[in-house]
Amino acid sequence: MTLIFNSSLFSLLITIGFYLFFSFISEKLSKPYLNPLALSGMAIILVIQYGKVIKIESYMSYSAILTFYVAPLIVALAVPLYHQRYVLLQKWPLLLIGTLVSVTSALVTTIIPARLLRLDEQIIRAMAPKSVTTPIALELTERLNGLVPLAAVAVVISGITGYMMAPIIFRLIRKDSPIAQGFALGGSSHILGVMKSTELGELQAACATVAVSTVGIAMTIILPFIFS
Amino acid sequence: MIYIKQFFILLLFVFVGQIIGYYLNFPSSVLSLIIFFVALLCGVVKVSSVDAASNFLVKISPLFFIPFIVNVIVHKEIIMPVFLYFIAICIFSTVITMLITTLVISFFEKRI
Repeated sequence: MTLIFNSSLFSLLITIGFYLFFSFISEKLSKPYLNPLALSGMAIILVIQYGKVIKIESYMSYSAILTFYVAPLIVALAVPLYHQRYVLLQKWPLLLIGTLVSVTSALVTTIIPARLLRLDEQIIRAMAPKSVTTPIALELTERLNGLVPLAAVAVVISGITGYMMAPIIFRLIRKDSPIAQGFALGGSSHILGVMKSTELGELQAACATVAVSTVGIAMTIILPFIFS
Repeated sequence: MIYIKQFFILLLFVFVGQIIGYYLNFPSSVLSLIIFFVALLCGVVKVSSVDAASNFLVKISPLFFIPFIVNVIVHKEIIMPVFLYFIAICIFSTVITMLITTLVISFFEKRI
């Protein structure tokens, strides 16, 4: 019996099964902050901890089938960026400023409080790239020797926070520029920011899409210098 | 067949990125993203010959990250004592980043 549960098949079944279930719930209630990724992760952790049918080591090695797709996924991000190439070409000075500001403020507001609270260096390195899209954040954390799984959690928290707080922030500071709103959403909350931006308008969505790529690339270039 | 062909093109760029990234010591998949974007812009690769597979991958992408989240329990001894700080900093940083980015872009938009 343990062989049946400690298998690729069972690992895939619980991963896809929980993901389908929580995606269904999130869509039915139309509340994207009920993040299917986070909820599925938690559900599988409970299965492994208390179900005692599959070990974490075997779950990880058997789900390599899924994690393999992270690299081709990053390459695929060029396609949405290509579709928004005219926004990029027309507004590039503004988007360049936005990228630098977004990366700098994300790093400063993460690293300084984390150092003050004396968090473990491996944890800080996992939090630093949290504003970029998950696949890039995972790769960066791995290169910096941070705790890769924690980076995934940090990215999800940033996404949900941005999704929920954006309308409050925009109302508070009374800025209704579509470029600023879209770019801030994509630059601080990656894909979830893009989801929110599509609710706000077309230009917002275009800028958010561009921001996901440009902030990801800028973070890749800047991060090694900060932790070297 | 169309998905297989499109997926093959994506894998090819991953491979090219890995080779160049090895020599430049730069994260290979981000490098592949840049090379692929340039290839699309120059027309080396037509967007119509990759978009189906790309959209499919992007749409189902959260599935690929679930194992990473689950792996958090391996490190629970390091994480549990500081988990509240960890969440607080992530939320704080995201709000401030969004605030500053919106303000700075709005400021420059009127001047550029």
